[in-house]
Amino acid sequence: MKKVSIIVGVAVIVFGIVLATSFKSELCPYVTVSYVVSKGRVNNVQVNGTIVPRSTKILPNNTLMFNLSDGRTQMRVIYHGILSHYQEGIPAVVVGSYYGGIFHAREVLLKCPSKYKVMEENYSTKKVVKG
Amino acid sequence: MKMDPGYLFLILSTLSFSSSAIMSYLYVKGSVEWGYVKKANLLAFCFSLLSFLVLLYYFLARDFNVKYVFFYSDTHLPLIYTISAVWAGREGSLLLWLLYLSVFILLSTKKGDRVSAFANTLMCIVALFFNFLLLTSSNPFVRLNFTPPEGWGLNPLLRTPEMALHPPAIFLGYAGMTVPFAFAVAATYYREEWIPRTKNYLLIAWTFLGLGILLGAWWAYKTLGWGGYWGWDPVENSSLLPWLTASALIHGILVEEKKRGMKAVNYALAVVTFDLVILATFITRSGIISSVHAFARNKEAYAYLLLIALSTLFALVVALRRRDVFGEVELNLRDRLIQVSILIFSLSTVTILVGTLTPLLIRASVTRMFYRHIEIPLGTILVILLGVCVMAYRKDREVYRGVIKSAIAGIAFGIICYALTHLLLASLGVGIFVFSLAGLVQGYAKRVNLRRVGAIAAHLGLILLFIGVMGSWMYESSYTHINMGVGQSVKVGDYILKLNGFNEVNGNGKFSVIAYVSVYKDGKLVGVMHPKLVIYNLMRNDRIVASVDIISLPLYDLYIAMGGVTETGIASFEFYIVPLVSFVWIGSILIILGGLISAMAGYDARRES
Repeated sequence: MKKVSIIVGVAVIVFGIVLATSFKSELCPYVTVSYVVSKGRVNNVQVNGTIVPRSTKILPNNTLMFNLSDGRTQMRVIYHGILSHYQEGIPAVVVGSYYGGIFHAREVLLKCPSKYKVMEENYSTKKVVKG
Repeated sequence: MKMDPGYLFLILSTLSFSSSAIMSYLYVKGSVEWGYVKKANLLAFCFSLLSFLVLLYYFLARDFNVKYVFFYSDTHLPLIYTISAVWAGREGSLLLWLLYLSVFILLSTKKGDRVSAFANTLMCIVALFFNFLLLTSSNPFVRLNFTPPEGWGLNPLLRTPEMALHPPAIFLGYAGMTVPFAFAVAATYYREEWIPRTKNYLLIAWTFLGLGILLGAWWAYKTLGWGGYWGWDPVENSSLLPWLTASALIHGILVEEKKRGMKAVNYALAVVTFDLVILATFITRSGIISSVHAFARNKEAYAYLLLIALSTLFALVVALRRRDVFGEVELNLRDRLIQVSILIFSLSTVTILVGTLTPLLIRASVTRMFYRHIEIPLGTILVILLGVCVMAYRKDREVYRGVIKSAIAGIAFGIICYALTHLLLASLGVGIFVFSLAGLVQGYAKRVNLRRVGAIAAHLGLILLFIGVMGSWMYESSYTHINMGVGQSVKVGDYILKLNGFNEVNGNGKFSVIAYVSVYKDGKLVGVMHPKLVIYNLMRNDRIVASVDIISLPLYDLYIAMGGVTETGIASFEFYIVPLVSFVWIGSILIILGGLISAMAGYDARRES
């Protein structure tokens, strides 16, 4: 009985160490557009913002360029790949690194279809009445 | 102001649940008959159903004056998706939760003894929590002060059969997990057994939760266009968490049923599973783009947290006051192995919980790799363990011999696989696959009956799922920068893709551009694929959807998505070769069928006795 408990205890401790190590190496902090731009060079971060309308450039090789804004600062984002529901003017999170004045996105997360609140906030009843 | 009939029914449902909760308490005191509790529960169900039907009616009548109807439907929406739009948002989903729970309360408390009375009170309090949300911050019957001529429209991505059925399946699973929780607490309080009463509810809830998760994964695969089916997104994770703890519980009750203990572990698992479904309901329906602002933005968050805290605290107090019922009996080899599997399920849960909650706690989140680094080894250990565990009902020496036989088979197949493919990890995977399969065959060959068919199906499913996940995650080939004009062809890997042309289809509230891409291998036509871009006639921002096309072959899928078309007629594509993904679907379906068969077998057994 005691032997089993020791084995399980050791296994759980080993697991804890592996978990902590993996957690640390795969952690990707959230930062703002202003922070990224002011730093000039940042590795492996996530930036939350809105895709600036009329800023999108579609380049060959499935490459997409657009500006991301946090309301104060904008930055240029470049992404290779297909985004199934890309639109301008919607909130997005870009994941990647910033260097040479451009954010190189490894991932672009757009508003997930099962998340609704953002849309309601952007288009509240008042706005609908106005226009 | 006139009160909306739907809202009125919600109030009546609240009153019925309240009276049921109070009367079941009085029943225990001996001052009322059980019949009154039954009637109150029936009324609660009827009023919840009526409220739901009123909301459904507004959708069918396209009453865009109702804010919820305005946001989730439009005049072009086909009937089937107009119905599914009822649960496309937070308010309707919570109403569905309440409706399911009212059914579970009605069915599970039939017996009418003191344990069901106590459980009834607890479940009614949970129902009242949802009533409260529906009457206040998540009221689906809020009206606009004018009537728009057209609705905002259901998100185009949700217009698929999978997404129409995914929420009803998931929420059935969530609501069902309330039953084991309530009975575990109530029965422990009276020092009685809770497992025989709730086992079938647990199996049903687990099955539907699994079905919901599978539908979500299948939808992601054929809709989102990145060639994968599981992105470790907070919403996906949150539904997997209670599924994992419920899986652990299903194994734990095997030991407790034989009167050998593990009572404390099972009790804890029932409580944690309930906590996790409440957490999942919050994460799924709180409407947050990145979970980081969840608490600041959503007042309801605190209500959910409070429910989780109170139910855990209450369960803990009951457990501490009834410490004496948790005595352990000496466990045998099989019980020990089951304990290890429960440990693995639990570690898996902790990992996903840490990853999912990170954005809520600090300003950061973890990447997909965090999950893969931990979950792949854990899953592998679980599958190996399965191969041993299913034989462990035998004498120790026979188990040992059986394991040796399985190991020989596994090593042999692994070596053959390596000789043929020179892929180390794939060969290791095949070896483990064969090892566990051999264990399964040895373990069940001589004792097949209906009750075990469920277990066999679920375990076989897990082994297939393992090899499918292994293949599709480690050996997927992706070609993301493919550009072709009409008549041009491109070589990708062993394949040649040729763009034959485009077609445009207009109608039914949408406009589609369909590409015709022929796929050749070794000079032979494999098939013609039709990736699409669909533009919906909606006011919404997200009205353009890329629709993928898939050719499923037995050992791999060919998967293509179209990114866009330039004015000069050059289209861009992503092409993926996803190995063994069909094993993922077949494995998952077997796991779900296994749950269903076990529940049916249990139901038969109960009727016979």
